[in-house]
Amino acid sequence: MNSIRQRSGKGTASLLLFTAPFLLVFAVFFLYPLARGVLLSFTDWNGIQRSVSFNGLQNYVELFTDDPRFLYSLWITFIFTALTVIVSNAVSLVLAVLIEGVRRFKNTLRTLFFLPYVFSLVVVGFTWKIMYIEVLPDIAKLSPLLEFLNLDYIGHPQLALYAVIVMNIWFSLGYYMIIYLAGIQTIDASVMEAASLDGATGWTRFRAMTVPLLMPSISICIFTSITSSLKIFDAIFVLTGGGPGYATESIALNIYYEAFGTANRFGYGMAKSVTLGVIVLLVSYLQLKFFKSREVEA
Amino acid sequence: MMRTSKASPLIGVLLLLLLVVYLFPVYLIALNSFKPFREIFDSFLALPQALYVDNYVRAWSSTNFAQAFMNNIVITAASVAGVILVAALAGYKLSRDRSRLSWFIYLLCTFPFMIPFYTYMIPLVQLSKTLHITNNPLALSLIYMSTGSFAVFLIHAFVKSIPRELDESAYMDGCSELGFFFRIIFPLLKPAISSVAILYALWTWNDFLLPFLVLTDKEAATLTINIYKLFGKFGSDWDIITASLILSSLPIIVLYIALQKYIISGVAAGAVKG
Repeated sequence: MNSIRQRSGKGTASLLLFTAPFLLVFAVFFLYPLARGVLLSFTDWNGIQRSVSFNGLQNYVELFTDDPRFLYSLWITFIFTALTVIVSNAVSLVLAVLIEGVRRFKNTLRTLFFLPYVFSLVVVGFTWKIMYIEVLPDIAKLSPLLEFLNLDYIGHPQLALYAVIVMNIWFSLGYYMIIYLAGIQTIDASVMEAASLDGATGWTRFRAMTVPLLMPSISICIFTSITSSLKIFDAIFVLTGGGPGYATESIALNIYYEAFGTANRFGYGMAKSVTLGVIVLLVSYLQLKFFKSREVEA
Repeated sequence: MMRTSKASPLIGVLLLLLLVVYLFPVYLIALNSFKPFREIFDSFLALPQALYVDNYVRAWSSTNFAQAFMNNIVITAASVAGVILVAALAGYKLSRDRSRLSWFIYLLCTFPFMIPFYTYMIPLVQLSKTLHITNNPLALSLIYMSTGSFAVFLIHAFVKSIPRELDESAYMDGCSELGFFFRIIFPLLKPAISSVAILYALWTWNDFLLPFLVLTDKEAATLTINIYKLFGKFGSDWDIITASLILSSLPIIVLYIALQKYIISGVAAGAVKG
């Protein structure tokens, strides 16, 4: 300890030496664009012209008062996040508990349920496009009982969002399952056995023991699924492109179309980008506070 | 370990059924990639009448497979190696140095972990154009290196488990600090580094939007970009599309099967630390 303190002058030099390589790329490709973007969000910049004039909060005011398409994308993102977080966590938690319950092929099951997660979302999007457009109608033809499967999943404004959500849950299910499995394996077997001996049956044990003891894993998964849902882009972009109309347009897609579509309003697009950044940071912060206050020691 | 005392066979059967339903889409894509268009058109569900590999010959050229594959390799290898190097250096030093400056740099390096890419995507793409580094897979890996915050965080946490006494004894031996780092510390970081390697490799290999925005030339495109472009080009030519999907995913599937144990534990470790 002492020998390190004595080196303080040299210490600063070596601190900078070790951190410089990362700080350099970090400053150029992250800090600079971020700072520039935040600044530009207060201007009318269109990406081409040299002269840029500040227009104060005008972009932000327009965003929340005069841009129904953006406000709608907030709503879509909210629905998407709420449904995704609830369903994917519930399903993956139950799946993990079931897999932990079998004696054999545990690893094989784990490996296969995780498989979709290694695909790129573009491949996943194409796969599900085929499922929705061709396969489900083909299955519907097999029997009159399955007739209800013959729907226009991607083209129908009400169904399209659910179609995207189902696909996204299918893709990420294995990821959450892995985290829950890792959590379950840290639970002391004797605690569970004691509960069994006390006469706790499957559901009671799950509700009264497994869930509370898994609180750390649950908070990680909920945290991850909320933040990744708020910034959802790829899955929607490839499956529906935000359509039909704007029925599945998330905030990130709205930003993309604003910036790289025809309007070329970069300053305005940056105001949207900054808004998304602030939303994600705020929600992350609230979650961290919330989970810190109720975590149970496992 | 938790143990469910009874009903194990029943759960097994249930899981097997779930698995069949779950992997049904993957099975169907693979199945139809071996059928000529006419058969696919008749029914997506029917088995192929004969093993038909022509789709793959066409998929090879439609995805520009050889070149795109090489681009993927270059981008992923350079990004992962780069992230490991800069994050290990920074993560180690920031963990050891207890000064206020070190704490400040650590916070600066790790806060972006929560900031979505979309927040600075527009100026980043502009910057790449200004610097003339678009369509350059190696330059793209510099951008991926700048997202090394999470790697710094993981390594920073891991270094705490390496005893400080080790550093001090090395100083007494008069070892140069960098030499000491690469010879002694770097090998000890292996568990954290393998987790970083797996997470970043999966992510850069499959990433879509950033490469899509900066690699606009046909020659520079990655597998994911070329798959996306099939949408517009082939509409609903499912024969060539299904074969392209399988072909472009083969490298990652093979790698996953070979390294499944490491991939799964790497992903779990990354998530839990995060």
